[in-house]
Amino acid sequence: MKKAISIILVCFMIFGLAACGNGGNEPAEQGTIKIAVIDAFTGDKAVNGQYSKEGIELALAEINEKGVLGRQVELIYEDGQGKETETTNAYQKVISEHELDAVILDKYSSDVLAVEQFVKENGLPTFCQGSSIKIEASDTSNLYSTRRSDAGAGGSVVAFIKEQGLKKVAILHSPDALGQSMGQVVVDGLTKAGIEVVSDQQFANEDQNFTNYIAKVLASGCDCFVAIAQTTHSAQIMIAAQEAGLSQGENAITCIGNSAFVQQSSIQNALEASNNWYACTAFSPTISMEPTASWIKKYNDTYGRLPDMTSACMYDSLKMLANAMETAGTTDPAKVNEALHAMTDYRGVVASYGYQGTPMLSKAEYVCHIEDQKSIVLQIVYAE
Amino acid sequence: MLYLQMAITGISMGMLYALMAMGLTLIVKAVGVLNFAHGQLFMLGAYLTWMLTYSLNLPLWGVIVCGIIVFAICGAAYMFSVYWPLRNSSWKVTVTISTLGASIALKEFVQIVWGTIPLTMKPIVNGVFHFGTVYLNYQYIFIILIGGGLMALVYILFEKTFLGKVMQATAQDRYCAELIGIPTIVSIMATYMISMVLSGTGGWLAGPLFLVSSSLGSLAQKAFAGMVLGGFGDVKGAIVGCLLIGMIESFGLIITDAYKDAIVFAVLIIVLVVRPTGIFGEKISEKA
Repeated sequence: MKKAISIILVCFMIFGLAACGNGGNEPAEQGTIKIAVIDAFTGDKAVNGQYSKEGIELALAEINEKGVLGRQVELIYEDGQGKETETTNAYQKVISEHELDAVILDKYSSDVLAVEQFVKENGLPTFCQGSSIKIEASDTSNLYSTRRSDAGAGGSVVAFIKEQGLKKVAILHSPDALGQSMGQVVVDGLTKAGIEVVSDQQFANEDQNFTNYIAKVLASGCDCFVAIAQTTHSAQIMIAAQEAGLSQGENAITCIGNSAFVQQSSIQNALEASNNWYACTAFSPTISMEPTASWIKKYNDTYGRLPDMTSACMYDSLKMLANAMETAGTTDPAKVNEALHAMTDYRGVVASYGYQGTPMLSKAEYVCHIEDQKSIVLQIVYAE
Repeated sequence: MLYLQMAITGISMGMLYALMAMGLTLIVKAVGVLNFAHGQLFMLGAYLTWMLTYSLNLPLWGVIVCGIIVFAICGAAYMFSVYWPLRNSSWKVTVTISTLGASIALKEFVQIVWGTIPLTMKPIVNGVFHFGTVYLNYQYIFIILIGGGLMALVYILFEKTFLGKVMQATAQDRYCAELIGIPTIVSIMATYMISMVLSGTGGWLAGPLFLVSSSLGSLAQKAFAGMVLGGFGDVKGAIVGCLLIGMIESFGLIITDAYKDAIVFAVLIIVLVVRPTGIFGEKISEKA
């Protein structure tokens, strides 16, 4: 009798455990697909968070029309303020509070690098919009960026300077991961090409006044000025350069910026001071190729303004994640990562994307020139 | 010539810091509280003048008159919301913490009201002065003139007028001031109002140069440094300290770009090691 009861109990335990096992998996494959979005929604960089939100909400609306694997996608916003500490806290909070299927991070490489180890540990497919060389060199196989690396963008800047036949270059860059890494790539590339770097300055994050930096650029006798900064500073640099007659007027020289310089938020603030600047960028709101042009129109119709690079990158991030989940037929992180690694040619609004062995998925970027406060695409640079 | 440009921008930046530091010092003297939201009051000044100029389309004189009135009202409102309810708290740091909270609240408030995109403001005096490789926005010279004028007005107010003497009396000993019939609440409120007018004007002057954004408040770091360098609690010291900070910051760029702020704070530390009470420290102790 005891033996029979024991067998029955063991059977109950086995079935019970099996049921628990199913119960543990099934809810994860039911209900909404939860994706955390961490960006600067408050603080000094909140303008980027606003553009990000607009872009990703546009993608969300399109995705939820049909759903992904028959389920709706739910975005969970968390504010990282565009700062490393706050982004880390936001990441830890959102990971512990929700059963997430994926994460999308902001465009600040420093923030992405701050949470990289946690991204690696939890294995969730994680998109970011950072472009640091350190992100490119990362061995975190579940981390993806919608951008080319600063090495690529820096290389494009060097190639453009060579093409223009410029001889003396002055550089001003930000102190963050973007400025440090891209600045170094430009300096190394120019030195290698035999072009003299007559001034290499780094400004501080808190700087508001660029007059003296530009005065030093002017005094250096350069024929080309390269500025690398985030959108928070790019307009101020363009205004200071215009006042000095560096970018416009009789003695104007070639002024080149990174992607921040052709973004809507920068042009809106710099106004006519933005004219005559060149920039290497992942995205320009004047791209006339499809499907980008239609998307820009849709964005403009929806929000009444042109998109920023971050809007387009965020849009592509969510669309790629949804596509990978459909391809994998599941939201299981490992399978979604496999699908993303197998992706060779996904056409987004920013560029064509494909996994090339590093987190950087974008295959192209643009060289633009600002005319009448509009960035005009001059050429497309494809990843080698 | 580069040095001339650096000197003028240095003095100009020093003036902006000084406008903030003067307000800070007046509050410290009046109620003994270090106002950590002072940078945000400066920022608020820039947003309010932007609103008066571009939303209400007021002419320059209208912006100046209405600006002063609005700043004064904001100063009083700030005092009654951040300082007054907590003034008798048993833990003296409470009001200081309250100002920290106010700094965050003000930063978020302007983003809710005016959005996250920085706002563009035309210079009050348009144009750029070019001489050889030297170039200077006229706004920098305007800042020096207005800043200097405001400093003179504050001096006259405190040294030559009855209201100034009443405010000084309240600052020196509030209990005695009350005993001789001075309405200290009015006196403290006037201090906050003047402090906000000074900072708000600074914001108005800085907005066209650096864009009107929530990051304008970060300039307060240098104002704090200038105030400590000049001698904590001394208006004259705050002005001299801030002008020095502006010049060091400007000329520090000749030595290093990446660490120019480090030079500013290294000088501050050295001065404090040599003279712990700041440049005008002796005068403060004499007064005490």
